Amino acid sequence: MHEAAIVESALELILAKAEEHHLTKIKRITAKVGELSGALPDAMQFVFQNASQGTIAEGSDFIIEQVEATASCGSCDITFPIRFYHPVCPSCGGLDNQVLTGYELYIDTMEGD
Amino acid sequence: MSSIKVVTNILKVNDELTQQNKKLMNEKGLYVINLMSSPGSGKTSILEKVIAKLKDEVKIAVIEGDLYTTKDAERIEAHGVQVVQINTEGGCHLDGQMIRNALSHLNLDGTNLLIIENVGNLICPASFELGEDLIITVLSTTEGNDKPQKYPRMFEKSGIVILNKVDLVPYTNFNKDEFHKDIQEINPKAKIIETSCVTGQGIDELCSLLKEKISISNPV
Repeated sequence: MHEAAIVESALELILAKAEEHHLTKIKRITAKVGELSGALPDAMQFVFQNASQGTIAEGSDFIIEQVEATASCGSCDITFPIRFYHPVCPSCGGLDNQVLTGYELYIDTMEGD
Repeated sequence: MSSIKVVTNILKVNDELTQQNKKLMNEKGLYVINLMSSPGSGKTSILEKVIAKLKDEVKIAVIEGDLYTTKDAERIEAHGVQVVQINTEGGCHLDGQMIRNALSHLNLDGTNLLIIENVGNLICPASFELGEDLIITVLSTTEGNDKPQKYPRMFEKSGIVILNKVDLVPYTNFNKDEFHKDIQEINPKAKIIETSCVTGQGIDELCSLLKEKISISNPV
């Protein structure tokens, strides 16, 4: 359940940003979570609802936007979705590919008063 | 209502601590290995074999991650190398703060190799960088050859994948061809070494590879 550690880090970051911007209530947070990041959105949501209690983020909308995993093939010059960590080029079958997206794990935006 | 663009990595705190740890590790000339696997795959047994073989040539220190016990640290200490135990008390992985605390308890002067034995778990440890130069993931034949496909992240990040307990293959349905094919697809750059702590198979190969990596990292 490493989502607990991930969400605690996220909350620390969110509360520090809120203080920096003089917010007294956080209403909405958007996180980008890549398919390959190893963090499960449902588990993150569950932990957030508990961990945020008693903070100015309590009751806020915690929106997790999943980012699709993609890679590009150096030989075929195409971009393709990665199926389950296997960056195999669907055109040439080559494995020497550059992963473009899928490892995201960051807080994108937040809103509040 | 204010809208704030944040765009900050969630693991920023861990990353910053890891960068500080990495700086200290570099200053001490350490080559750092993060050793990961599921529980019972044989991490500690492999470590014991490697230490016994290398300790006269390479000065080794070990950080032992475990939930509650000091059993593994006691086994390592018996080989006469420095070891620090981290008890995560239920935590499923090691992180930058834990490594920082452990480093402060080690005398690293003259040490060449630091091995961090992570908590036995194929999932969570892969998400937390510890400032390592090399990730070694161990899979044992009794766990089944489907594990790289089921838990790809750790295998995807590994420089070396060890297949341990190969002496038991005849008694299992482990399919080595499928295992090699899966690792090749998930991480074509990974070096695979087959080992057995009972017969000693593969230990010399692993030690030679480690010595080579340590000397490239810190040429004398």
